[in-house]
Order: sequence, then C-alpha cells, then structure tokens
Amino acid sequence: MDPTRTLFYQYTGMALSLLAAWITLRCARTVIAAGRGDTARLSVRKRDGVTLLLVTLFQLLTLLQLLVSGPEHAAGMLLGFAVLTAGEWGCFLLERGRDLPGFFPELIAFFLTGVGFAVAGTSTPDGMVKQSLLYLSALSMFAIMLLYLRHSRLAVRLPLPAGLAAAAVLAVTLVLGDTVFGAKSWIRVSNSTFQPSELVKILYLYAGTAAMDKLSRRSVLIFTGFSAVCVGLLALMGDFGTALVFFVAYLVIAYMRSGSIPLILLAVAAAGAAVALVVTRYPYVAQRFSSWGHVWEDPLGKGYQQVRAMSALAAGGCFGRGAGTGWLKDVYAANTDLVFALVSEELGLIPAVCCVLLLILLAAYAVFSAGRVYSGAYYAAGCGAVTMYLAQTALNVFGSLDLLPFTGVTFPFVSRGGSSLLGCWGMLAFLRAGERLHLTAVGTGKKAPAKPADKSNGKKSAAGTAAGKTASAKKPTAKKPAATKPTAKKPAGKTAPAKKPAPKKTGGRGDRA
Amino acid sequence: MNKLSRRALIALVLPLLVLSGLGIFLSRLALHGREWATYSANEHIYTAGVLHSGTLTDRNGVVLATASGGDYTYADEEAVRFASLHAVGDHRGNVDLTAMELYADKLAGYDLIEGTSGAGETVALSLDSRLQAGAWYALNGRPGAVVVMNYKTGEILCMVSSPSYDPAVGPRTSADGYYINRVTSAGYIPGSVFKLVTLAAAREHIPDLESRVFTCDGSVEYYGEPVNCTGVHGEQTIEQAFANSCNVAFAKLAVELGGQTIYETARKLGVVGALPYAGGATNPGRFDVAARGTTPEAWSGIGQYNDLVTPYAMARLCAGVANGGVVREGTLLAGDKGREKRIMDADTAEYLGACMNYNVVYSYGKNNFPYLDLCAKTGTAELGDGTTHAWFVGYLRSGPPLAFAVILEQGGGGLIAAGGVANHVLQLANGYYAS
Ligand SMILES: [Zn+2]
Repeated sequence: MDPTRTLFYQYTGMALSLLAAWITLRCARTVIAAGRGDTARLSVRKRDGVTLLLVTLFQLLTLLQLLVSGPEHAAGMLLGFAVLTAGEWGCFLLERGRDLPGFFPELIAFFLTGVGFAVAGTSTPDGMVKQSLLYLSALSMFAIMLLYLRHSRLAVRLPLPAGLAAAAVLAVTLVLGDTVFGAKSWIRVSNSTFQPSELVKILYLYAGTAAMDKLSRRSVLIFTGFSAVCVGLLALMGDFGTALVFFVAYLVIAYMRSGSIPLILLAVAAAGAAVALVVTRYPYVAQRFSSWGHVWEDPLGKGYQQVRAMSALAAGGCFGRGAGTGWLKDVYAANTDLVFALVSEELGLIPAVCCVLLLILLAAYAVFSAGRVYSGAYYAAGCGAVTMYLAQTALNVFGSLDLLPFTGVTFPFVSRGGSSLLGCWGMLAFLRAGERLHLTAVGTGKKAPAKPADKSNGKKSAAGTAAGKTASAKKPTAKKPAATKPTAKKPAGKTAPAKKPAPKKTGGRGDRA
Repeated sequence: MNKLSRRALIALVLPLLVLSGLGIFLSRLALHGREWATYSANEHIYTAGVLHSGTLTDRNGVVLATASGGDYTYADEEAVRFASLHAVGDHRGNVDLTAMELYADKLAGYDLIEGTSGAGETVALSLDSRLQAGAWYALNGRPGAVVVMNYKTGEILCMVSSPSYDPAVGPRTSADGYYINRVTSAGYIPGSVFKLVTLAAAREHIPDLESRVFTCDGSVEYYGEPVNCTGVHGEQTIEQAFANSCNVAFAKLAVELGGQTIYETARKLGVVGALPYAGGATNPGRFDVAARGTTPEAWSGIGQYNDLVTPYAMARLCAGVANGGVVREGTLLAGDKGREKRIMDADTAEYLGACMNYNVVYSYGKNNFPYLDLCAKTGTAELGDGTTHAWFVGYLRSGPPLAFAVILEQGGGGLIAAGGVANHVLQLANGYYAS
C-alpha cells in the first residue's frame, strides 16, 4: 500500500478511536448522573445533541475510509450514510417535546447501528440500499413500539396473546425453518431469509413483563413455564445461543418479579440438568462445541473462523487498518458472528471495545432508571432488554474469541442482518416506554396505562427512593402496603426544593407537547 | 419501585461479567496477540501464506532477504543466495523451518497498539554471509550440509544445505530434496561419528575403560556373523581404538553396553529425538535397540544398522563436549543466547574432548588443519551399495568457540572429503573471529 494511504488510514483510525472513546466517556458520565438520580442532567437534550454530533462525525469518518477503500461503491455508501445520518437526527428532532428524558438509549443504538453500517459497507458494499431500508424499517419498528407502549390502553393487557404468539412463531420456525450451520432458526421468504427468534424476543419481553403487576406466585410460575417452552423450542432448533439469551433474560425478569433467590437457583439447576441430559443423550450436540478452548489446534477445521477472527483482531491494533481494507470480511459469517473482530480489524480495537462498553452503560442506565420509569412492568422489560443485549454481546464477542463456545449469536445493532436489527430496535422501545421526564401527576395521568400512578408527586430524586408508583403502587389494595407507604410520605417533603430546577430547565423547551 | 429497583441490581451481574470477560480477553490479547497476528491467514502481512514485509540480514548487516509490498529481493552475492536458501527461506514458501517462517512474528512488525501495520522490521540473523558463501564454494555443488555454531551462545553462524537454488530466480527443477534443509531436517546414517555416543556411554558405564586393551584382528563374530573392521589394528587402548575408528573395539563395547544403554545415552546427548532449534524442531533421528549380543546390536553402536542422525544434532553434541557438557540450543538470531541444557557430565565432556583432540594429533594430522586447535571425529558411513557418506564433526578448543558438522552425501572418506570442507570454513571463521 502506498504511504499516503497508509497515513490516511492511520490518522483517520486514530480519530475514530478518539471519537469512540470520547462518546463512551460522555455516555459514562450520563450514566453516573443517572445512577445518582441526577435527572436534571439527564434531561438536558443539548448535551445528548453534542454527543450525537460526535456520533455523526464518527460515521462520516468511517464513510470517508470506505470511500477511499472502495470508490467504486461510492454511490451506495453515500446514500447509506445519508439515510443513517438523516435517521438519527430525524429521530432526535422528532423526540423533542415527547416527555422523554434525554436521548441516551437511542444515542447508543445509533452509534452501534453506525458501526453496523461500516460493517455492511465493507462486507456487502453492494447492499447499502438494502441496509438503508432495513435501518428505516428498524426505526419504524422502534417508533411504532414506542407509540404503542407509551400511549395505548392495550399496552399492558395483551401479555397472553403476545406469549401465545411468541411460542407459536417459534414452533412454526421449528417446523418450517431452514437449518443454517446446525441451527434450524431461519425462515426463507422468497429469496431472503429471516430469523423469527429475533422478533420473538420482543414478544417474550412483552409477555413476560406486561402482566407482572399482578404479583402473584401463580403468575411467576406461568411465566416460568412459558419461558421453558420458548427456551426449549429454541434448543430444539439447535439455536443454543439464543436459547441461552432467553434463559438469562428469564432469570433477570423472574427475579425482579418474585425476588426469590431459590427460584433462580432452581431454574439454573434445572437448566443445568437439561444441558447435562442433552449432552449425554445426544453427544453430537456437544460435538458442535468441541473445539471450544482449543481453536488453535484446528485452525483449518473447527477453529477456522475463530482463529481468523483473533488473527484479524490482533492485526488491526488499537486503531484499525481502515474500513474496507480488511480480509476477515471474506471469512464466512464475518459480518455477523465474527463482527467484533471485523470491527477491531478495520476500525480498531478501541471502537470495538467501546461498542461493548456502551452496551454495558446502557444496561446500567436501564437499571438506574427506576426514578424515571413510572411502571414496574416497563422497568423490568427494560432490564430484560439490556440483559438480552448483553447476553448476545457476551456470546458473540467471547464466542468468536474462543473464551465461550461459538454459538453464532448476533452482536446487537452491529451484526449484519435485518431481523436482528429490527429486533434490537424493537426492544429498545422497552427502555423508553416507561420513561417520563418528570413523573408529575399531570404527566402520568395523561398516560393511559398508568392511571393509578397519579398518586405520585412531583419530581423524584434518587433512583432508589424515587418511585412508589409502580407495581406496588398500582395495586395498593393487594400487597405491599409497606412499599406504598414511603411513597405516600415522600411527595410533600422530599421533592420540593432540591430538584425543582430540573423541570424548569427542560420545561422551557416544551417537553409537554 | 424501591424494592424493584433493588432487585434490578441482578441485571448488573451480567454487565459486570462481560466487563471482566473483556479484561480477560485483553490480557490474552496482550499475551498472545503477536502469535495471533502473525498467523499465516493474516493477509495484512502475508500473501498466500508468505510474509510480505520485513528484512533479514546476516550478523554483520548484509541483507539476506527483504520483502516490501510483494517485492522480494535477496542477498547481492549469488553464492550467499544459494547458500542461505534453507536457513533464510524464499518467498514461495517452499522450505520449512526457515528464518522467514520462524521469525515471522518479529519480521511482521507487530505491536499491540499498531497491530500489523505491514511496515515490517529488520531482524539480524546469527549467520555470517562470508561463511555461508565459503561453505557453498567448499561444497562445490556436492550434496551435503555444513553447520557451524557458537558453542558458548548457540548462535548458528553457518548453515548450508546442498543442493540449493537461487531464491531470486526460483527452483529450476522440481527434483526431490531441493527443499529440505539437510542440516536440521534430514536423517543420515552417522557411521563412525556415532562412536562419540558409544564412547560417552562406555566412559559412564565401564569403570576400567582406560586400562583395557582392545585387540582387533580385522573382524569379530556374533552368532557366526562377522563385524568387519577397516583394518587390522592389533592391540589398542580405547583412545587409540577411537582414533583408529576401530569397528571391532566399538562392536565389543556396544555389545557389552547393550543397545538400550546406548539408546539412552544417545537420547541424553540429543543425537536421537527432536531438538529445539530457533523456535522450531529438528528431525528426530533414529536408533533401534537390537537383540542382545547380535551383530545388529554391534553395528548400532558404530553408527550403522538403523541409526539416523541430523548434522545439527552432531554439531550440538560437539558443542556440548566443547562447553563442559552444557549446550546452548541453536538460535538463528544474532546476539541471542539459546537455552542452556546439560547433556553430559563435565568429566565425560572433558574425556571426549581429549579423545577428539587425540584423533587429530594421532590420526588426522594437525598439518591438515593449520592454525586450528581442533578436536574432531570423522565418519565414513556405509550405505550398503558401496558408497559412503563422508562426515566430519568437532569443535575448536581455542580460538573462536565454534562447533561444527559437515556431511557430504556419498562423498567418500570422511577425513579427505568432509574434513576438507570443514577446514575451508573453519580457516575462514578463524580468520574473521580470531580475537
Ligand atoms: Zn579395528
């Protein structure tokens, strides 16, 4: 390669890493603010606007690298990145005045989706139009989900149909699906394939949490049975990675619903027993993962993909070799299963690690969002969603690097694939569904499903203390008198002086549209 | 919500696990990144499995091979190109265990921050291009091998395998054997040079060895089968029998010691078994333990029967003798020091050294090796078809600390043919490295 090009990739690579690190740092500060319950800071959209600007800059730099690497695909690249940028700023502007604190979850999703565009740009440079359409569908999915969850009276009443639909879709996939590398989880529609389990995740989270305000022992058991059916169907398909993702999400939701550690231990033990049974009865299942831990002993056979992923990753260094210049993209499933290594090779280890860190921050954001979320159901769904993201991330990243078995799970938002992108954006809606800029009586009263929450008060402070107006608050009659009590106490005393500035700040911008 | 937000902390378990997983991965990357990045699938630095960056020089900075963006150039001097093909390698990837391959990780220019930027590094090899050329000329087209190593450091100064081809031009024939580095990857019948092993075993297992008298009538029989000697040596001490390379004396020793004992000594001395060399491993050689008291057992102790050794293993054995019983494993990097390993007692080493010096004084003729304080052993290994491999192995007791092995395939007598090549190379080395 001539020296000018080398220098170009070197400098743009450094800039990309710098931007990625900067974005991650800004996001980390946002999450720290969220952890402290500093809603004032969270609600400043201008701050998130600046971060979004950095994200856009990052994307423009990857576009630039792609244009230098493959000028023959310039038209598609320009179109794709124009749509990407338009989508993210459109979303940012449209959300103004929607009673949403900040832009944080979307910010992370857009950053990751942008990295996904870079992946698409290098691995399938002819497919940028398709990628753009998928992206627009995913955004529509997000918007529809968000509007539905936030504004529909039905939103908390349909867990049963959703659950049935989830199980039905999985069952249909099991019967009709195509087998791709051992996992029968693909449905072929004309000439394109589709992975229904990605969308079932949404139904599962919805079914699993929508009814959770009925905090009865029976409902937890029903949920457990439903989860077992989903996980079992996925395992039957041979899609063990996705089955594990569902199972981990189940653990989180089940614990949030029941608070019962024995239940969790029991579930883990049962799953362990099931795995042991399968492994002993059907050794070929274990055979699929036999190279785990020793891929370098079989670099031309079972370790083929992982060995190449690790090699390309190390070759990329911290700043990457430049978008479009890699070789890993030619290895099977590089843009899905090996995507962490692909990103490391081309954009650098720093942006790739930032992708993972951002998802970790998103998880922390969801956990710390109690003070901003008016519904326990949505709070749990949000926690379930980030758990799914992270379980996928762990399996994808560590699977491709031989720290975990290689299961072929996608990296949220980044891996190429329409169903995955739709599913990820759909799940993101759960993180936003319950969020309110300030949980005032007026505000919450307006939201249909939250009617009982009107007993809530002005602003809430710390996440922990914040909301009594949730699960427990909703059914004050039944259980939790203890939980309702502090809520009742709080409104008068606590809110008043300290946190008043927050509504002022944002109020000016007319969030109460 | 209070309770719920407390329960939600369970959702932080997975993020923390992922975070620690990242930590594990990053530490593995720091440890193994170089290995991963220099795997031959990495097209940033390899084209079709051949490294396309980096420069290899000899110990004095003479370029032996350089690659840059798909262009490959080699040493200016033609003889050096021919001589260094097997040690250095060529960009077609024809030869195994070459410096190009063994030091790919250094040549590639990997670091954790930059990855493999493709710029390539310069690696100085321990080879001396002048000795390479000298050995090549001395071999004069005859098939065989020359290896010279510094017995104090393990640095290999000369490593030539013939036949060879010019890597700048490419192989002219696809004939067998062009691609084998005969120094490390070919097993040869050792013939009398194997008597070093038998002598070492005898020294360690027969207490009255030095007071014995070995009588040679020209042959000795086991179960009616004769083991013939090259002459009729009469009564000899062990030193004389070694200098005469008397088959009868060593057949008797071999049968007395037994094949198993000789095998164990051979393993200890590294004559049998793969040896580590410059990050690779050599051909393991061979020694079959024959039935007790038979002629095969006798022959196995004098380097015939099924015995096979590499020239490198013989040079290393001599290096061990020279260095008080301790070898430095061979390395191709200038200034490097091979790992230390004791292969025999200091006492045995001293004894073998004295015997090898006695060979030169008493039998080979010091005048044939002017200016050299030489300790050596010849070998004339019978192939069974009337031809012989010519061996000459040994070391310089003073002067530059060099051990060596020379073999000429079907090259005739050890002293005349192989000794001549060794003398030529050692005279050059003695001139260059006289302190
Ligand atoms: Zn004799």
